[in-house]
Amino acid sequence: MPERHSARSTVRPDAFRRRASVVAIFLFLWMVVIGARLIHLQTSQHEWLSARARAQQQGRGEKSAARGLIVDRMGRELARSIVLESFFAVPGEIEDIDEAAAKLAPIIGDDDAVSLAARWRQAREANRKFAWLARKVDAESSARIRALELKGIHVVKESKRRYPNGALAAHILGFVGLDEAGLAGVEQIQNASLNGEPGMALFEDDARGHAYESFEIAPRAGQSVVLTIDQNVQYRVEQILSAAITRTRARSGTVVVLDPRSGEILALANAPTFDPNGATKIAAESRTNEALQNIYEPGSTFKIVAYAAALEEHLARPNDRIDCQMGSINVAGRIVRDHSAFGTLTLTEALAKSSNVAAIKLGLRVGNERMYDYIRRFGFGARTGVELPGETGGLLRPVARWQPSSIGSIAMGQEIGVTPVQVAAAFAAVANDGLRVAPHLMREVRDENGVVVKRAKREERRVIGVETARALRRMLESVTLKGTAKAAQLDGYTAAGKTGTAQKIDSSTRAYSKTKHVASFAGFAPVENPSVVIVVVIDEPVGADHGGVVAAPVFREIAESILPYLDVTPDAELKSATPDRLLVAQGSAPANHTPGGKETDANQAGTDEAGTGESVAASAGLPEVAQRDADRGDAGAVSEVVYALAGDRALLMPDLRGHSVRDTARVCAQLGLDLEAHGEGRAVAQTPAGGEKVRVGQIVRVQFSRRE
Amino acid sequence: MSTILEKRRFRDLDWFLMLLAVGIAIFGTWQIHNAQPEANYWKKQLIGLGVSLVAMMVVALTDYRKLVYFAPAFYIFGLVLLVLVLVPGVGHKVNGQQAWIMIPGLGTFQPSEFVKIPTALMLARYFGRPRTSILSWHEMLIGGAILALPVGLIMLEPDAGQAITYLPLLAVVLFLSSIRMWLVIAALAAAFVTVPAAYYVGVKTGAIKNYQQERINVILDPENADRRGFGYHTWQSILTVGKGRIVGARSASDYSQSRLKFLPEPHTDFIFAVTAETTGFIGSISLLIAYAVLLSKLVVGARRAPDRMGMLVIMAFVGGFAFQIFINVGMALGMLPVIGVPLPLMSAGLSAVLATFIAIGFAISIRLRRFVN
Repeated sequence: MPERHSARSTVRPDAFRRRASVVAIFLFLWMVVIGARLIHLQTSQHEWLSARARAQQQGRGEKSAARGLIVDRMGRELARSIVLESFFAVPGEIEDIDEAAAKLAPIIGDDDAVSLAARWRQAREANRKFAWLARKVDAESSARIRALELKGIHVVKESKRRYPNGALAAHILGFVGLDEAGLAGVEQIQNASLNGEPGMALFEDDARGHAYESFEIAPRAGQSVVLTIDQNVQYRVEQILSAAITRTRARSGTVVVLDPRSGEILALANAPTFDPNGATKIAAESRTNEALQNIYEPGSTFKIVAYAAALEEHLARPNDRIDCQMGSINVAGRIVRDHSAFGTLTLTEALAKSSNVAAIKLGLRVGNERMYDYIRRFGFGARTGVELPGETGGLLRPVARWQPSSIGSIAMGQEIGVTPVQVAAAFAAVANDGLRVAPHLMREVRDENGVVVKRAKREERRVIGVETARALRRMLESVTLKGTAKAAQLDGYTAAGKTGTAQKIDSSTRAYSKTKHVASFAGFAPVENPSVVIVVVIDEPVGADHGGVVAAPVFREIAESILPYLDVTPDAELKSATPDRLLVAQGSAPANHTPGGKETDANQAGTDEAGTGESVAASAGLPEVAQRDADRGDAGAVSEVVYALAGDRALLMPDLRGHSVRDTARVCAQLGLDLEAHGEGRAVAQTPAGGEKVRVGQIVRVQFSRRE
Repeated sequence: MSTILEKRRFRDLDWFLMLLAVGIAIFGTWQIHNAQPEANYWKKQLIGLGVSLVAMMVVALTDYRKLVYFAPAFYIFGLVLLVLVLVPGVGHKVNGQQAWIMIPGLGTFQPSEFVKIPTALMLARYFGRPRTSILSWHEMLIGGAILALPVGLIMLEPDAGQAITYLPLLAVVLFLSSIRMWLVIAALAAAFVTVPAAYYVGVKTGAIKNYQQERINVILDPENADRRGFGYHTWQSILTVGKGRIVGARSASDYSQSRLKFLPEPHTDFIFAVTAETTGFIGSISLLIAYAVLLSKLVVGARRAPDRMGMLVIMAFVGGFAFQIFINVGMALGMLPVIGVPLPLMSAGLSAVLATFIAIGFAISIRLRRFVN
């Protein structure tokens, strides 16, 4: 085809070929560059880029788990976490700093408008994008801040630990820091269980942040810790102890109440105490749990070890006579005297009168090695294992480091350091027929569905034989009947125990102080079938310093208050039946306990208690309508309020409006009502309303609010 | 006679070129589907492809010389459209650019895509006469004016990305019209010297604003510069490309960057990144080779064109295509700043596909008439 040929050979006047090839070379080079870039991105950088792409697609959200409850043995809340709102400012977003500060300052209260504005300006200049405004604000202030609808003020939810009963059981519960980590007490030792595990949500995110797929690791809600503590017992114990400390002008005091059959601690109180709601502001010394951490010389209460050892080893019998050598004995060169000169006494009498000479003689009969062995068996010199942090094992030197005179000192409770809980556990062993059940505070741990995940293991060991224990119990009863602790005699119950009055070692002279004492009483009741062991330790009482004078009455007061509540059948004559001795009038809650610490659920218990409630009501003869103290604002006035019984089984709901959370909790504890508190501040609303009939154990909802 | 002519014409059509173009367009439609499977862009694109094929055939079977002869009319009509699009109420605004005209029942179309064709025809008509001398200043001025009118109007939309795609039309035509070589070299040298210098001076004097500076920084350090702004586009595109590996990432557990809308404009400006993600190195390099074959086919067609005018028409289009591919792929790979330039035959957009196939129609028409008759 000639035409085609001619077309192909057309020669152009311009430099098409050359110039086109220049362009072609450029395009080719560009292709090479692109190809190289593609290979680079898609092979050597592939892993990294893919990871980055996945990373931006994957959102990660931590879902915080609500911290678990701490409840008493009846399930009454001792600590719970509530969700509050916290506000923060993004200074750069605030339109008018002065105006916003002026509006917010009065609500948050702790900063004036000028300094708030100044802080924001500073933050804005430093290009900081976050400044806390107010954390964990109560509901009402929160609503007010929200209502302002200020630009640049943002809200986040944070949870805050609340102790609805205020100082109640503070030393047991402990407290938490701002981040809700337990810093003391049960809060600390059970932190892992209470905390739960924050969940993790992995979202596959699209660019607009919409999750299109999510894998969720659900948060494990904090588990609830059920304590062996009984809120009402604890409350009574704290009241009585606090009054005793005031009365005796003592430096401090400790009471431990435990059930010898189960080892369960029903109450553990220290005075002075503190409010865990604001614990971080409290001095450290009032936060120490003296029941576990205070090492003191037990004095005469410790004599039970020597007596128990002597009886168990058949070295003596209760009715054996022992020569008290007119109140003086020489132990390896050290002269020890009795407080009065005793002649020959029976062993029982010697214990009742707390003869040092008799105790030392028994100690010498037992000998160093066996004495040490019994001390260890009773649990001294080792931690009891109560589930609280910071417990000390006390001070007990091994036999090799004893002086020749040590056996005498130790037999009467010197040269040894113990804690109140150790003493309680030792007396509990005697009370429980020689079987020592390890004292404990934790009953069980439940998950959020109420399923028990951990239960306290009962640890027991035989310390002395049943016969020895029974003999010792009868001997200890004589202490209250004829001996040093007549003040510990109970109305309606038999009681046994031992006083102790130990001189403190003066830290300046390093000798026994003549003025500083630790007065104590350790006892149990009723004698034949003990339900409670109560140890009272009063540190440095002023004036009267003898355990029988200072501590024994506290024992009596507590025992008389809680034994009926625990539904323990009286085994002795009632000396008086005046209405003011009755539980309700005394301000302790009617029992919602079944006998012997065994319990059913709260409702069941409530109906079981019907009989008790009736008898109380019948004999009480209290006014039908709840009287309210005229001065509602005065927190101290609340305990004087008399709450009447409405009928056979019901109480009348008091009007709680105007009371603080703590007062309300106290009133409810007294009446045996289950408080469900919302918010903070003073009570503004309640269900049921004041004057309505309520049952023991019924849930009462009270709304609190902080209003000026 | 006419039947013989028709038969011959039909036989002589550049089927390979057509199939290649259609193949790329179908591949592109698949990528549009990958980019936005939920949206109906890919269906629209298929319809557009059908329309475009008809338009291409019409153009291919028409004598290009007649069309070039009427170029001024097309050109003026194009300018009218570009003015119309600026009229409020007529022009349709998307992303702040008033570049679309709404046609009831048909959808929107983008005049700036089409006006490239009459502009190229106008340039070819003016510079297409057989040359005997070196390009004069006067001619260059006229050429500049032909280009300046539509470019100016497009800048008013404003659509800088579209506007710069007009520049290669003139550049190619001037380059092939015996422009003095020293001018070309001087222009290139000037660009190499003045651009960095101007950038430096601009930054120092503050004439170049921060956000403009960011666009440059993005290329230098895409991961960290301006993550929320221009850098975001570039960085996301690099991530998307990087995911592709050798054969593409399409496993069930792997989530597409574009589907999750991390990659902005995945079906238009960043279609190459989607291609790289879904088909990997193999797919993207094949696409580039297809482009290279397509362009070289067009260049061969231009060399064999019966006259200078035809050659210039094809080469103007080649210049336009090459430039767009150059910019678009460079942008997708994080080598060039983000400029909204569509990838020919791949990016979704009826106007762009239609304009591209019309341009290819011209190439076919010109090749069809390579025999002097």
